[in-house]
Amino acid sequence: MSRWHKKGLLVVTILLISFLAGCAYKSVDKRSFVVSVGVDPAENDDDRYKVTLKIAKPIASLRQATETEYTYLTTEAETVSEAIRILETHNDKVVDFSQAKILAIHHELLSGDLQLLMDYFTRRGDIQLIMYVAAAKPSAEEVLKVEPILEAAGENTLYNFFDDTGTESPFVTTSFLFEFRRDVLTFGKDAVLPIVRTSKNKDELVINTALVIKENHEPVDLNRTQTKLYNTFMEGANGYGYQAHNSGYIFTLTFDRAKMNYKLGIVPGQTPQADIKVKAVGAISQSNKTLSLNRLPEYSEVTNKELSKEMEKLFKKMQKEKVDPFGFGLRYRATRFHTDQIEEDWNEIYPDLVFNVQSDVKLKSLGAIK
Amino acid sequence: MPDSTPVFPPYMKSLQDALGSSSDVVQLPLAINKAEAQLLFVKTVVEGSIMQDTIIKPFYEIADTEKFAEYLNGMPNHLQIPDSEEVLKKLVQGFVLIYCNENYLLLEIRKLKNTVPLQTVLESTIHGPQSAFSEDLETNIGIIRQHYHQPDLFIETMELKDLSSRAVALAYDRKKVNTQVLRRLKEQLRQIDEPLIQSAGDLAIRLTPRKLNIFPVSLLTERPDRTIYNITGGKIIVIVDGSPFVIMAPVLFFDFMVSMEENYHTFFISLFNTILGWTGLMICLLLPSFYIAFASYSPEVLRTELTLSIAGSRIGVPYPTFIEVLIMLLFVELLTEASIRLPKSINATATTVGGLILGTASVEAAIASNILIITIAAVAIANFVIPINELSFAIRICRILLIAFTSLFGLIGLISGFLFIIIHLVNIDSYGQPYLRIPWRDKSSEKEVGSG
Amino acid sequence: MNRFLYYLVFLNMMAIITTPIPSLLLIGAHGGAIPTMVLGLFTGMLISFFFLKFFNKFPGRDYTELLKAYTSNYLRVPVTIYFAIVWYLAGTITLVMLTFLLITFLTPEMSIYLIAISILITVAFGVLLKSKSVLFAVEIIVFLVVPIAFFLFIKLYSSSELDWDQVRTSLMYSNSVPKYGVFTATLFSFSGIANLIVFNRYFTKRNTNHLGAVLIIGLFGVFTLVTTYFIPIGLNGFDQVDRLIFPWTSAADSVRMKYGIVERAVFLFMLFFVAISFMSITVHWHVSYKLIQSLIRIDKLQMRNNNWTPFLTVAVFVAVAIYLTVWLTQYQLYTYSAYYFNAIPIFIIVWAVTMFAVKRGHDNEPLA
Repeated sequence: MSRWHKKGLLVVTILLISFLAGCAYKSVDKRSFVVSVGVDPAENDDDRYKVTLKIAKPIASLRQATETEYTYLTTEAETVSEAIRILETHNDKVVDFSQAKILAIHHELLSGDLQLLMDYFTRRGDIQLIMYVAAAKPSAEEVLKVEPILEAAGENTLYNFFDDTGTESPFVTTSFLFEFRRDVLTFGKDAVLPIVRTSKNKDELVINTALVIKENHEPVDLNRTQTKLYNTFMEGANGYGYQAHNSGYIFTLTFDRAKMNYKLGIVPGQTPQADIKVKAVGAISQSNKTLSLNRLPEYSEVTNKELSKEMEKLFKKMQKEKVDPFGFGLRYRATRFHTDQIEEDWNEIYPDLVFNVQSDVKLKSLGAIK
Repeated sequence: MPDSTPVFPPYMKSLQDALGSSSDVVQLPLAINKAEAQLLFVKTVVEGSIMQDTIIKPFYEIADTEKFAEYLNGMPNHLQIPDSEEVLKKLVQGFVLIYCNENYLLLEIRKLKNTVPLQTVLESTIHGPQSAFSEDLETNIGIIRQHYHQPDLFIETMELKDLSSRAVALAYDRKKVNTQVLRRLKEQLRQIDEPLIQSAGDLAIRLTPRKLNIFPVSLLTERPDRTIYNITGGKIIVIVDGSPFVIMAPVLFFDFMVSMEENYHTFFISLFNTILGWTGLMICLLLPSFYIAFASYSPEVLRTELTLSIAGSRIGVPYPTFIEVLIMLLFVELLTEASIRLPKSINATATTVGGLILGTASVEAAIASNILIITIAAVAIANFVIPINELSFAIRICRILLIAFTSLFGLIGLISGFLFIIIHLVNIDSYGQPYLRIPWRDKSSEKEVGSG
Repeated sequence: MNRFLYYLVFLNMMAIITTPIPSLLLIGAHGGAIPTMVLGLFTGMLISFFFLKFFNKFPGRDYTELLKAYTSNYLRVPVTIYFAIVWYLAGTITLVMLTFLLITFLTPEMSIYLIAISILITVAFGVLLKSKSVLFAVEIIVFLVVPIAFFLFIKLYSSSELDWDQVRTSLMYSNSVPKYGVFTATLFSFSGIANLIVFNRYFTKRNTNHLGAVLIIGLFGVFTLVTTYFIPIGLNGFDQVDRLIFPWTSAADSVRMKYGIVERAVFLFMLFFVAISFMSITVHWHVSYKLIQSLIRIDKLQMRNNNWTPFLTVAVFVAVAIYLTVWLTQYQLYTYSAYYFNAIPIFIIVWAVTMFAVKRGHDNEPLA
């Protein structure tokens, strides 16, 4: 009867399993998907954080939907997790964070202790580490609530900004959650977050500046030019919008490729030096004068001077503010064997570091006219 | 003329009594001058015109008992008399018993039916040969012989022990065949104890000792080119009289995924076809389960837009996803079955009407989501890309197993179930040969893993 | 050498990603992990060499058979039991870790019983297969996952977010003193070859080119170790990398496929991890099961022509595994599996002793 025994065993197993099953069974229409999370300082003195969740409403037919369908939940609490727990009671469906793509943090929160703020997001396994992190001005709630006119149903404008499938502007810094965590925790490199601002009438989002963030340190603002330079040479962004004013020329340039290499020349007893080489290939897209093809090397030279100057200014500013978004400190650690006082050494070296910027821009074309 | 009436021989009389008074049993005395002979046959299975040409006419031309007997002995289709049990069987199979010159003789004048090669129906190709096997054993052996001119091609015939006493032939290349498999197959053929076997499909099932199979361990084909292709690969072909299909053994799982079309195209086209076939197999097997997994357990896997779109299209559907999937799958299975049963001229209409109306209406009535309809349609189409029909049936069953696994355990259940199927495939064997293994061209490594 | 042996070695090395090994390695990141891994690599290759050489002497015979033939029962029984436990635990560690991983990242709401059962159904079925079928199954799975693995590794190494300065910084710690825990964890990744104690039955051909084989195993090892160690550092940063509990999953979650069907590469990784660790658990348990089979066959469980001992063995395996999965906390898993890895040298010593015993028995045997 062994065959019958086997069959019996199978039936019993299946029955047992069927009783067990079903506890994790949550149909997709019984979940509400959080697409963005915003964290602000609390207005109420008893609490610490104000958390805003942007939740996508399921739409039966995306094609026929005329406007975007989002709903917002906001509450205040002592910690982020507590706020989210409260918000879960405001909703009849399971709050699902697995599709959350944007984490907007109020710019003032970025100066204090980041540990408590970030812990929840990196500890939860179901929150993706490739979430985009951004600093929000005037507040995360207002930034999330902007629904631009150009936004179609089912779309998330903020996401289109960061994700490279939409706009690819050299002004937009992107920072993934894992990158942000890594850079904040690393000695010798500081994180850079984009600043997302709302326009005056609150129907547009503007992203063209950035913020350098170091734990327990005031965030340092990068202006538009600096943001652009950082994005171009650290994140490999390129495109329109580089300007060169020099020797009477005013150029607007497009870069196709750009990269930066640097070497630290640090010998005890000598002034520490950083030799920075900046390379770019591009074209002129606008000029205030008539140009001639055979003078391209000259235009390149004009650009070089301008670029070197700008870069040096940026490095010096960072040095003065005691932040290091370019990772010079990490490079220092990466090029010599570890000792216990390596971090203090670097803290002493960095303020005296001299930057020698050498730029090598190769302009290849003048566009369609001379 | 009292002595010209032939004497009815007693042995023949006893045989005729044994056959009973069926209307088609004929006892025919022949006599001319001094010569005489007696014929006994069943007229419905004997080819009348051949008998006329090779027995009756010569008899009257020769008109001499002894010479006629010699003539008969010289014919290639004669048979010495076995015991009477056997003789009766031969008579109903189409032999003619002749009594002549005090001797009994059996001549095979079988009425041949269905000797015309059929059109390929199940495994049709665009560029390959268009004709399939016929329903006659000898014609089929002839087709194989004509396509494979090798002295090593060996044909063995035997008879099944069931009520139909069907003739069965084994064909294989003596140099290439795996003798272990051959021995095993013959043993199985001998051991069959089934009251009635009517076709190759029937026989193929009886040839395997395991009864609870999902996957077929031998391959049925109607294509001579596939048969020859496999003989050159060392396989054994079992041909059954009266069936347009032949059985091939041993088979690998991969043999089921080969469409003969692939041999008639350039490399990249056939590669493309192969990939298409495998994609079809995977879609057919996995897509419904993926839908359940994504819509109920792990929506985080998909992109946000798609997740929201699934969520949106499920608005108002009252059932959990697995019931939704099972309902729609049931409809599709019914449509597929219906289109097989219906005559060719109407089935296109039936499936189109059924499919279109059911799909749209069930979305309108919020029984199923849009995305599911797409999924099910893709599955239904992919089902037909699998080259061998037997496999596509097996896959349909496995699909249900996977749906069960996924409904219980989610995405992990799906992976687990998929591996379960793979392990099951690895575990079963086809006549002692592993069913699923990577068929390496170089067999040396295979032999390193001894048969243990 | 036989391709199946490479599969076993490859499987074991890839499967360490779903064991606590990566985080055990990374715990040593701020002191001596790199020199230890180099040391472990060479030791692993050396041991692999001896394993190969030993089993090559006895083609087609497995270890229990050799023990039976050349040593006494007093040696055979305890050693077989010890080995069975070692292999069982190896599989169980992977199982518990995989369950934790799935509950953290894929299905946080699902009950832990259910996850364990969903894995164990298939594994139990796989354990009961013939050893030869297990080998074929390993081959199929390896072939299914290699394209995924290849794609993912390319994706990881070419990721623009991978910060090579972090990797270089971690290299700058290679002047520290080796750590014992990292050493044994490294050794474990070479333990795939030890599966020969059962599978050698199917390797009937003698081979001479051990050095080539060991070199290939070494190359696998270098690739696996480099990937396991440096990728999480490059993506998640060197400082505080030891704080990650699932460094590999976190690393995989840091890769985005812009135009992929699935955007988050971590789910492709899951597919890969799960398939590989399923097979790894199956192989380990299968070895353990075969070792137990060589000792016990309970006649009371004979029903007609079926003996139920195998089913009972596997049922015990499954029951113990479920109990452990539910009972262990993450901390306990890490501590106990560290103990387990630290005991690997004992295993090697026991194995070496029995190897010499078998060899002596074999050499003293009068030639028939």
